[in-house]
Amino acid sequence: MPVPDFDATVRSLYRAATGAAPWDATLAALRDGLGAGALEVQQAPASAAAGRVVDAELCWAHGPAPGLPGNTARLQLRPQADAAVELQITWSGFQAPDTATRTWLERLAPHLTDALRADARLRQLPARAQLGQLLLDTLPHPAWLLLGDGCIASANAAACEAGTPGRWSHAPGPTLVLRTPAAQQTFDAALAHAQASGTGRPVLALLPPLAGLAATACEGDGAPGEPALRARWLIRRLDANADDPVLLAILFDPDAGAAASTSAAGAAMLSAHALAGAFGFTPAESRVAVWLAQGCTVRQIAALLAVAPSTVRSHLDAVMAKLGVARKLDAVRLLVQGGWMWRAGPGEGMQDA
Amino acid sequence: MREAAVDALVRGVWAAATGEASWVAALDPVAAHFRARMAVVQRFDLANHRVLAIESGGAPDLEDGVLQYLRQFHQLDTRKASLLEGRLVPHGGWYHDHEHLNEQFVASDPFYQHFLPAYGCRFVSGRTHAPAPDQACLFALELAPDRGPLDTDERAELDRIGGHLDEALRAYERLRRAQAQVLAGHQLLHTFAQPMWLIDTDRFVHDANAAAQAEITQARLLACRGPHLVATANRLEQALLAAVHQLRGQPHGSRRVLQHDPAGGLSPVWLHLVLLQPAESAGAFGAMPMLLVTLFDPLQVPAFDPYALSSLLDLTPTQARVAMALAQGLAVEQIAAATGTRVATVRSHVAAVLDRVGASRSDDLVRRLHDGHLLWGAVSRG
Repeated sequence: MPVPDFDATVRSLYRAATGAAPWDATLAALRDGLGAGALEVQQAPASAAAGRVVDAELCWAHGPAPGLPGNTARLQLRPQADAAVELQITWSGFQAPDTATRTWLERLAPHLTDALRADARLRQLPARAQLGQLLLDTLPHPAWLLLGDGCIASANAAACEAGTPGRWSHAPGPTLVLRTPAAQQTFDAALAHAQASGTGRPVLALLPPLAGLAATACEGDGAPGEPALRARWLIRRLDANADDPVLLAILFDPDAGAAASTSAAGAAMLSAHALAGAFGFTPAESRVAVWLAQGCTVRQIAALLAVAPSTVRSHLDAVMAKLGVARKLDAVRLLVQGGWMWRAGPGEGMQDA
Repeated sequence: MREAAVDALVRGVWAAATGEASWVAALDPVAAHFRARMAVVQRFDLANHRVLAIESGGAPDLEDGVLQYLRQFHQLDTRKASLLEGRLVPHGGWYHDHEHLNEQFVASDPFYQHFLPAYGCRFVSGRTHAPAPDQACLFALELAPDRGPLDTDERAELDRIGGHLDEALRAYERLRRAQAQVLAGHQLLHTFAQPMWLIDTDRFVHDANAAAQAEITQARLLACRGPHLVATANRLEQALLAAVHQLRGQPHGSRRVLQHDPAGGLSPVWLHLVLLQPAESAGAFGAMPMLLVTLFDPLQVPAFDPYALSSLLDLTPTQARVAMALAQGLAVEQIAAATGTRVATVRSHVAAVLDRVGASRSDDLVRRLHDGHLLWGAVSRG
């Protein structure tokens, strides 16, 4: 009976455990490699696990399959103190695992335990990482998540938008590289400061206005030096005491949002569809609400939607009534306060606004 | 016997990659197995020619050597540049420096004369690979002169370990990045004023911000029944149950919004659910989908940190307080009454803030203050 390639099998197990491949396909490949008819994994509750197997006595139990002609190999695993897993491989008919297969399975057992243990520890990781990305993306300013070695762990939507033409920074490569040495020096010093200071609560490391950054930031868009002069980095160490610090670097330019109102990028706009769903607005009311949250005046909205200002005002009254507020300012506050919840998703920005 | 020993080394490499153990714990036995002075994994940034990280195991007296290398001697390292660019050997291949560099070269090269002998090293056998397009990685054994280069069997064993290391390092980097995002998610949750919960599809609560914990303590609209998140009002509970059920198996980022009109004529609140659906999740194992639940109550306004606000927007402390009050929905007259100043004074502060921030009207200012809540939100912890 042939056995699968040992190292390839081991790698595939850890690949599944670290979220790079689905488990069902991995286990199906193992089953087929062993020429078995079935491979089942059963999770037993903690009570059933109590005191039955310890890691040191990992070993397969071979025997006839219950009820059917065939043979099984069963392995009890304890990936965690409060969880037990039983793995059962069944060969149908007169097939039975030979000595080579049995030896191979014994060799694989410790890796199976380790992979399942890693899986149990890591299974919350992807969704929680997605939460981090989701919340980072709610920030309209470019933000980067940096690791202790300077590598970029992730960039938010605003940073990706700003970074594509190399506008803010950004030589290709795993680290964040600013375009002038002076800006780089100030940035590196702030990084070091934030790394050194973060022993308890997260801290803010503020930078003075960056002349070097201003020069590069304005290159592409024709506006001479002025607007980006007030741009600054805000760096915050997120972890309390780990050896591998994680830093959140936000590039804050108070002037960046100034011209945003009538020509806003799709990502930052609220979605008319989402607003209609959440607050029961009519399509016309939703469109008014979207531009209202962008900071437009009634007259600007009227021009954008090509309707009379009086029409916009009556839609606005309906919007305010549905939101339960009396002032226009309160309507704006309410819409932007929960803005990330009704923001346009990828690809649905402009067309419904 | 040797095969079982190498299996154990492979297990160690994966334990380090999945965060179960340290890289030292994985590399120490590798060095011991091959009677090497040191087993080392170096990562390089190819775009900027920087050493990103060095993990090593082996003789404890070499720790100083690693530091010296990072500080100064990596610049002298003749092997590095050619190795990493894949000029001498293709990526994934082995590099044995006694095969590439002759005695005459070694006798004249400062790296071999000044650095390596001080730490009892002479031969280097290493393997390169590229964990990412802009990175290179070297896995090498530093061997003493009396130990001699690796023989064929040893190379085959090291090849096995190297094959696992290629993939293990990729997994390690992937997990490190995900863990940074996890940390950001946990920390950023606390900068939001609205109560937020991270729950799984069984409504088991995995994380909650300070506002959410306060909500649970009061058991106003949402409460915890054991470890589970439930709504106190029957109708909202039914709607929540249905929404969680509908979101199961939907694509990542799917949303549901539930409006709730509390009894007693209070203003409406909204419950917002977003599905976090990892790409690879299946059955009993594998990644687990979760939901972010936000209770949006317009009456609940975020608290801003006046210090952060004033330093980021160049505002005076008084201007920052006026900006905060505006963002919280107070009218100029209310601010004047609350601070005991004249309305005209408050108006002049508002004008100064608008000018500083570059906003034309107060609703534009309010919009931008709320957009930047991650920058100046007061971080509250439960």
